[in-house]
Amino acid sequence: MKVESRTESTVAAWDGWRWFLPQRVSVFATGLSLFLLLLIGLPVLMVVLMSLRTGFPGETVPYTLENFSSVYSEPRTYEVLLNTLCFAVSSVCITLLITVPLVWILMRTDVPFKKTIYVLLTIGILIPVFLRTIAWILLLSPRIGLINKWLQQLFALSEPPFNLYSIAGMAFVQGISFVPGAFFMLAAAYRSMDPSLEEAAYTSGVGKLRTFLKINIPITLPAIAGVMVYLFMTAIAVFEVPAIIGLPARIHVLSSLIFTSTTPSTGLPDYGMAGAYGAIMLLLGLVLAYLYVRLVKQGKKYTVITGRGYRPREISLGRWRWPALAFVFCYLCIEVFVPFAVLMWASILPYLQLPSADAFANLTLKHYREIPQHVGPQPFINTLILMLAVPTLTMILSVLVSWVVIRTQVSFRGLLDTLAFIPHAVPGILMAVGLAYLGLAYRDIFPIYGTILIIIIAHTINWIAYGTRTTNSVMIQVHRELEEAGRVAGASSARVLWKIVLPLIAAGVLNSWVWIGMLSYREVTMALTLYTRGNVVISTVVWQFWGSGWVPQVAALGVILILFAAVVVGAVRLVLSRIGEIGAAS
Amino acid sequence: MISIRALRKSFRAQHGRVDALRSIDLEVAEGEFCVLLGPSGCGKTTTLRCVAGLERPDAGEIEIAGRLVNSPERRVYMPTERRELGMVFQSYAIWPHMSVFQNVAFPLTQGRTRYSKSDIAERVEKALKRVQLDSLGERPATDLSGGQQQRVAMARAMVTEPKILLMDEPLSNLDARLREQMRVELRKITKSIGVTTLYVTHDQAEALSLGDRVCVMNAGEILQIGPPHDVYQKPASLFVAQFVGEMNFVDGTARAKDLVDSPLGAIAAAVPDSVKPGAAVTLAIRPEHVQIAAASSGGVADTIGKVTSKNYLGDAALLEVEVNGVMLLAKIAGDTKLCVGQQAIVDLPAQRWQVFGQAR
Amino acid sequence: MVKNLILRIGLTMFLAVSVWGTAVQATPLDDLIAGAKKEGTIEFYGPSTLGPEGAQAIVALFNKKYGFNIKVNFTPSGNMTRDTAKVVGLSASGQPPEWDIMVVTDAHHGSLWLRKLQKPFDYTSIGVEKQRIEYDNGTVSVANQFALPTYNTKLVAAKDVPQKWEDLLDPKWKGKLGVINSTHHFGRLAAGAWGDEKTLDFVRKLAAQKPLLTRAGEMAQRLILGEVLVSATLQDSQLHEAKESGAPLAFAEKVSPVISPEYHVGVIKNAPHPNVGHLMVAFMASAEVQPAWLKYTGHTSAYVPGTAAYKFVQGKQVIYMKQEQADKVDKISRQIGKILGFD
Repeated sequence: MKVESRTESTVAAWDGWRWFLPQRVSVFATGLSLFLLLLIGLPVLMVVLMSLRTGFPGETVPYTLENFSSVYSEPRTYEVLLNTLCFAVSSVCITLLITVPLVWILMRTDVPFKKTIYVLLTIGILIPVFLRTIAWILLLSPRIGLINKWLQQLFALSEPPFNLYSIAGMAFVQGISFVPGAFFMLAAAYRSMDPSLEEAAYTSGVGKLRTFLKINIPITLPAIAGVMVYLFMTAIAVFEVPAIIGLPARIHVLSSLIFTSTTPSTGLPDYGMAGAYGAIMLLLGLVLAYLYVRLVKQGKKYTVITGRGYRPREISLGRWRWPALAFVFCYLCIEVFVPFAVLMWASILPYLQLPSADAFANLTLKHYREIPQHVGPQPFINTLILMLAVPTLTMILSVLVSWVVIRTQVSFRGLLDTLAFIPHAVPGILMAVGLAYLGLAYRDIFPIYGTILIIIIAHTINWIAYGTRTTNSVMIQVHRELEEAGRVAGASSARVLWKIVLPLIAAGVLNSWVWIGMLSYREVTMALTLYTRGNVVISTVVWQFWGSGWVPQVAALGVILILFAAVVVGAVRLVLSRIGEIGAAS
Repeated sequence: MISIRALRKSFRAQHGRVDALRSIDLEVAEGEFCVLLGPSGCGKTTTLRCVAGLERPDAGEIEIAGRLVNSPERRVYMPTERRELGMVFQSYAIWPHMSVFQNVAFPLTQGRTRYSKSDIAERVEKALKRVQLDSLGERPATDLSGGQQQRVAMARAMVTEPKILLMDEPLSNLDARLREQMRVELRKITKSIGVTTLYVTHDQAEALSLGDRVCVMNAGEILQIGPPHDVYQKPASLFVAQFVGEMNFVDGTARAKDLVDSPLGAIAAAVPDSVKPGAAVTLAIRPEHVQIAAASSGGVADTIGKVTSKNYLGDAALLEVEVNGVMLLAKIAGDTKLCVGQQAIVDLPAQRWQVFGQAR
Repeated sequence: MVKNLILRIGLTMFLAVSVWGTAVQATPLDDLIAGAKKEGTIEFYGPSTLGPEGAQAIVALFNKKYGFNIKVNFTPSGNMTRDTAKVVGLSASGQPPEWDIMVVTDAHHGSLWLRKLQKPFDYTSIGVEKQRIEYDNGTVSVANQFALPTYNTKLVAAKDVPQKWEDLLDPKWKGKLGVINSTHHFGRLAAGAWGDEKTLDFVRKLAAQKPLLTRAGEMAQRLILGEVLVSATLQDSQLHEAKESGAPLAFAEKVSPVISPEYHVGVIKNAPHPNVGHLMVAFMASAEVQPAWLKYTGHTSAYVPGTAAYKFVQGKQVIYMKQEQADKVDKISRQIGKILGFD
């Protein structure tokens, strides 16, 4: 009897002590949060540090506010800020003007050739934005643009109607380039709308267009707004288009200022200024991030989980089929066909020129032949490493984060979710500069500068936000009870994640994996900022060619890369077509 | 009012083609409440959606109020919004970004006919009153309970006073109690307006209580159409017999025109003409027709069975009785003193038996 | 006997001294050679146009001359500004530089010189001409670039070609000019023949012509396409490449003075292989290197007779940058950049 009671009291004491131990899940979540905080926080901290110092990474200088005072006392800064906002707003508007109808046409109607269109849309993002500007210069340059010349002739105008070198021109090129990404984001939101909401309108006697305007749009408005904010955040950070189209017209945006501060044409980089400019962008980004999170919350109120799960019947377009197709075709021309055709044209010329009898007389294939001379295998190898490592790391982190956020009851999971989204608020160029600064200044602790690893890290941080949006939305669809059944059967949390959740979300995760791989492949800004001999990737090679004026060579390289990537994308899409859409995120 | 002729539709699924509808013929008279009853996948919802215009059949014709609205052969297809109908969806499909008033007014403000503002207000009031939601007009739609949403959906479907009303399992998302209440309400409302209703459900109790005629479907075909009484008392096939209400089945062999051999003895029940003597048949009897009494009060010639389980339902008791190796379900009104394990006299009135051939 | 002894001792001493004397005289080069043999390798940073092949070629010549077997690791220039900054940064954090020798523009070496980041050496002692040496014995000039206004020969009639810098300010060029972001071109004019006032005034008027701004590499394309008819300046390498592919571009050769940015080579402070470095630097000043340099980069040194650059500068007023001008050129170039609208 005595023995029993002793055992009892021992057991009770053990229980009592154990009660104070944190759950394994909480420990894991905390670890994950700290890791993310470190990963994201360090470069951001660097940016802040940079802005408070003058001189170079590695030099010991006192902290000072003089960068801020010099930046903010200049009226130019505000002019540039205004330019940035104008440019960003216009780009996003153009994107949405095209994307919303495109989503409706492709998702709700019976327009033909859907599979092909999806593939072409995906290919669209593979053409680096700045390569497309070649096409636009040839078409819309005020002096030599073909379209301008033609219209001037046709309508006897004294001034060219289109000026590419303006904010409108920049917004046009940039806006078009956002469409594929925006399309897949909106498509996902659209899909989560209960189709019976639309059908109820039809049965109420409301026509299709009216239903679209009065029902579809208002209900998907939070999602559309969310996409808008997301794109806006990207637009204030992009660099390529403003550098090539803005500069000739003396239109500067924040990103180009940061770039010229860190890579001036004369003298030495001024990290202090870069940091000070960067601080504005950071602030702006954080405000927008907050807005985005609020909008997404609002949007959740409107999503109705349908009981049936059937897809809505496609609207038959009848004779409207051809205008719809024309619209899609128009867009694809602008986005894919024309730039690609121009690249092909440029690649077979000795030097870039408009079509003329002269030009046709001198066509050559030598640029293709000479590619191996100019580009060794290293950039391709590095790019391949990038395309494999970045999405893998990003998706692993995203899945883990989403699991904690969606599936556990950890008290700070909302914070973790926000933390994972913050990177999108930090413009890519800033993140890269911060990382570069980190790598240079603290070379001993972080010997990553100059390696491909630093680019991998930069890209991973950049797309964690995107990755977690996808995994969040995918994980939500896995019903909680499926996991709970696993727990009841005796499996640990980790095992449940591995054996039950992961297989169910595999398709969505794979889609995003491919998408991020493609984004990483064509990313220029960060790769360029972090560029050294050791981490050359294809996108930097292409940019260097362009910067050296080797336009035909760059065109040849571009054509080959696009064709190659198109084949790969087409193949992947065919494999994944049964599973779902590439690139969908909430 | 609704005329469906030779309706056919198949879907392409991962494993091949699925025939959702295999030639459906149905006539719904004006003012009639017609229920499409069947298990999931039988094609009842597909039929409804074809009438609504939300699905396009592969073949067949649909006429509403004398107008041909759909005929693939004649290349006729009237889009949903022109068919002047009202529909209540299973998920209610209440638009979350509008108030109750706006939801109900939508067909009037955005539909094909233009109404004046005062007209709209009046009609909406009337519709809301009919479903007893007149006080909730300004409420945002997301603030409503399931039952309230359902009633808003009804109000919206009827606000234009359509010629036909389509309902796709509108009560299945409600809890049992509410469901029963709404059943009564629904019938009252539709009858008071006199609108022709086509109603889809898998709940046979609902079908029996609501319908003027019940149309039992399975695997894309109509098995039986008739007033509830006929469908229940005289099921045309084994499936209908078993789907509508509870039924006891006993295997037997047809001996003659009105005699069937079975483990329960020879039963004098009418055998359908299509069944040859010596063929295998299934005997069926409703549980409420199985009479049970305590063993002591019977005579020697009575059939004896043993009670194997008892379910008390409050207003009735369900007993499982084993008779000659056959398990029978008996339903007794109220309660019974019989307990599990007891012997009981089982009376199976011959005229209550039905016989079905076993031809597949 | 004693006289004989004294004579013999004196002769011996004399011989010893002279031998020792000559030995002393030969020491700088010999020491370097000995040191270089031990080091065996060199980290070479140079223009991307040189390429690994060009670097190999030059080192091959170098090895042949001295009987070495030095291996070269060549880093093509991605962005000279950034890489110069990297050198600064590395030094500031106490690390050795990545490269032993760097071939960058005189302006970049100027930045290094201002921070004392070159390892000077008395190059005259190993045979380099004084006029080639710059930055307090820090660097040696290797090759010259030239910058002049450039025009499209198909679109600009002979009579319209600018004859002097001021011709660019003619109203007829309004909206048809281009300016590249190498603002140091004008900066050199300011530090050299023109002075600040005149240069800034010129630049302001140039800005008023509303030129198209681009980065250096893109200008040739714009000229060829006809988006701009004349570029205020363009470097000869860009011109050369364009002409190679058949493009109709040419310098406005009558314009004077000619701006000449130079490529200099110097050893970086704390370089891991200084001996090879110094020898290479001296070697680069020799005439033997010129053919190789020409073949790969298209440039030659204006100081070496017989080269293309030498021929080009005959009879022209050319502006070279001196070390004391480095700081000023930097500062005024930024100012010019702001006036033109580059940032």
